[in-house]
Amino acid sequence: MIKKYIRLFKRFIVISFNQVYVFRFEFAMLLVHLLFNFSFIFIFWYTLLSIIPIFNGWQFSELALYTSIIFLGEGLGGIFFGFRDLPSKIIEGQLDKYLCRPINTLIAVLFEQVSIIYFLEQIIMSILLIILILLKYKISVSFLSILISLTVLVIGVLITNFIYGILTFLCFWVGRLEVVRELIMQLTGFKQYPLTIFPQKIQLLLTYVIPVAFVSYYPTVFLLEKQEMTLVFVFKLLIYLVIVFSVFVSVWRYGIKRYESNGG
Amino acid sequence: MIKVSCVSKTYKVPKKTYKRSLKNIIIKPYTEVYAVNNISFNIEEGEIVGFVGLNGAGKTTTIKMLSGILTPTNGEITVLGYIPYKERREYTKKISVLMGQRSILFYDIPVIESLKFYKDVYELDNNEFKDRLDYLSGKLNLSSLLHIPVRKLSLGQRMKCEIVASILHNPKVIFLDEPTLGLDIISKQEILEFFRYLNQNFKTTIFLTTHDISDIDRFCKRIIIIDKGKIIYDGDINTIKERDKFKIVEITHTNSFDANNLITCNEYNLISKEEYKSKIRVKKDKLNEFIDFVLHENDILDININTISLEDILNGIYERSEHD
Repeated sequence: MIKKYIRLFKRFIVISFNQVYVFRFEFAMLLVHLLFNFSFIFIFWYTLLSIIPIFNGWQFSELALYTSIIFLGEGLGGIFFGFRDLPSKIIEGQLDKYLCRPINTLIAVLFEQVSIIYFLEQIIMSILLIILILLKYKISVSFLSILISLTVLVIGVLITNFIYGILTFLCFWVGRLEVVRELIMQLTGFKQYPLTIFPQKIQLLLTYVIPVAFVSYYPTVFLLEKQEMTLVFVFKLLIYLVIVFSVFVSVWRYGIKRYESNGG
Repeated sequence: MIKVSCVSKTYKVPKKTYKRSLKNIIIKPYTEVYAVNNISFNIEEGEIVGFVGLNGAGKTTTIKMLSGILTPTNGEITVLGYIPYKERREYTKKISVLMGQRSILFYDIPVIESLKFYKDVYELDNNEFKDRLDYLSGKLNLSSLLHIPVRKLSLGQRMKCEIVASILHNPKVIFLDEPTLGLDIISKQEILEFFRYLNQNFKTTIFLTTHDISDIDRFCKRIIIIDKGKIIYDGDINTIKERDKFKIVEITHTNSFDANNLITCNEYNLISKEEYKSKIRVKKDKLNEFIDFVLHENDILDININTISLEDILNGIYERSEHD
C-alpha cells in the first residue's frame, strides 16, 4: 500500500517536471518572482532598522533569517497546494474520477496539481539563503538546534495547512467559500513579524488561535537558541497537531460522505 | 453480474419559502427530489446494454451509483459480487468508468505520462503495462499520438486516449457515460466498434448511457429506457422497434393532394402530414398493396420507404409516459 503511494508520488514528480518543461519561461519567471519577494522583505527590514535601530532586540541578520524560515515553511507547505482549487473541483464534480478508481481521493486531489518543482525551487532557495545568512553574519548554530527548529517548522506547517484544509472542506456543505477562506488566511500575514513585538494577548492569539508562530517565530528562536525549548512546549505542539489532524480527517470523511450522497 | 433491486436516489433541494421564521433560517426547509425512483434490473456477463433517457432522466445518477461514486438512498446494488460504494478499493480495480464530458488525462503533458500514472494507480507491472499498451494502441491506432500533449489532440483522438487510460487494467465491466458526445461520425463508429470488439473477445460487460439514439441502434441488443427516474422499458431493442412489422413510407405530393385519402384501412397510419410531404406507417405484409395503390395516384411525385427509426419510437414512448 505504502509502496504504491511512493510510486505514485514519484509519478507526480515526473508529471510536474513535464509540466515545467512545457512552460520553461514560466519556470524561470517563478525564480525571478521568488527573488523579488525575498528582496522586498529584506529591504523592508533594512529600512525599518535604519530608522529604528533597536527593534525589540531583533537585528537585521536575525530578521533575514526569520524571513527565510517563513519561506522555507511555505515551500514545505507546497504539498498541500491542491487545497486551493478544491472547492471548484467539488462543485464541478471532479472528484468522481478518483472515487471510481483504486486511489485515495484526498491524496490524489492534493497531488494532482502540485507543481512540486516550483516548491522544490523555493525550498532549495530558502535553505541556501539561510546558510548564506549564517555564514555572512558568522552565526554559529548547533546541529541539535537545527534539528529542533526544522521539526517545529514541519509540525507548524502541518498544523497551519490542516487548518487551511478544514476551512476548504467546509465547501462540501456551503459550496463556494474561497473568499471567506482567503479572508481567514490573510490573518496568517502576521507571521511576517516577530512575535515578541506584539502585546502579550496578541502573542497568545498568534500562537494558539491562528497558529502562525509555529511556522515563523519558534523555528527561528530555537535555531538561534534565543529561547530554550521546554517539554511543555513539545507537549502542547504535539497535542495541537493531533487535535487538528483528527478534526481534519473527520471533516474530510463527513465531507466526502456528503459528496457521495449529494453528487457534489 | 450486475444486480440492481429497488434502487432510489433522492436529492435534497432547498424549498423556496416566503416565510422567514427563525426556524426556517436555522433548519433550512427542503424537499426531496427523486433522481432515480425504484429501479430494478439485472445484467448478465458479456451483455451490452444501452441506457437511454432524456437529459435529467437519471442516467448519470444511475451510472454513478453503479460505479460506487454515489451511495443510493434506498435499495441494493451488487456488481461482480461487490457492493460498489462499500468495497470501493477492491471493486474499482475490476471496473472502468468513462465519462464523455470529463477528461482523466493530464492536460499539458504527453499522453504517455498520464497512462503511466494510471499504470501506477492500478498497480500494473511494467511488462503487463507494455503489452496492454501495445495491444490497445495498435487496435485504436494511436501509437503516434502517445508523445503529444493532450491539449494538442483533437476530440476524437483524445477520446481514444481516454479509453486506453480507462481500460489499461482490463476491466470486467465498463460503464460508459455518453462516450460519443461531440464526436464526428467516423470517430464515433471507430470507438463503438472497438467496444464491440472488447465485448466479443473478452466478454466484457458494457453499460452505455446516451441520449444519442443512433449509437444504441447499432450497438446494443438490449435497451433500458429511463424517464423521470423510472424505467419505462427494458428489453430487446427489436421488439420495441417493431422493426420487422412496419415500414415508414414517405411520400412527396402536390399541394392539392390530401394524404388522408390513402388511409383506406387500419393497417395504414398517417404519422405526419405537411404541405408537400406525408409519412405513413404501413404493415410490412401490406406494403406491396399500398405501393401499388400509391403508384396509381397522379398527384404523388416521389416515394421513400424506410425502416422505423428508434427515434420515432422513443418519441412515442416519451409522449405516452407524459400522458400517464
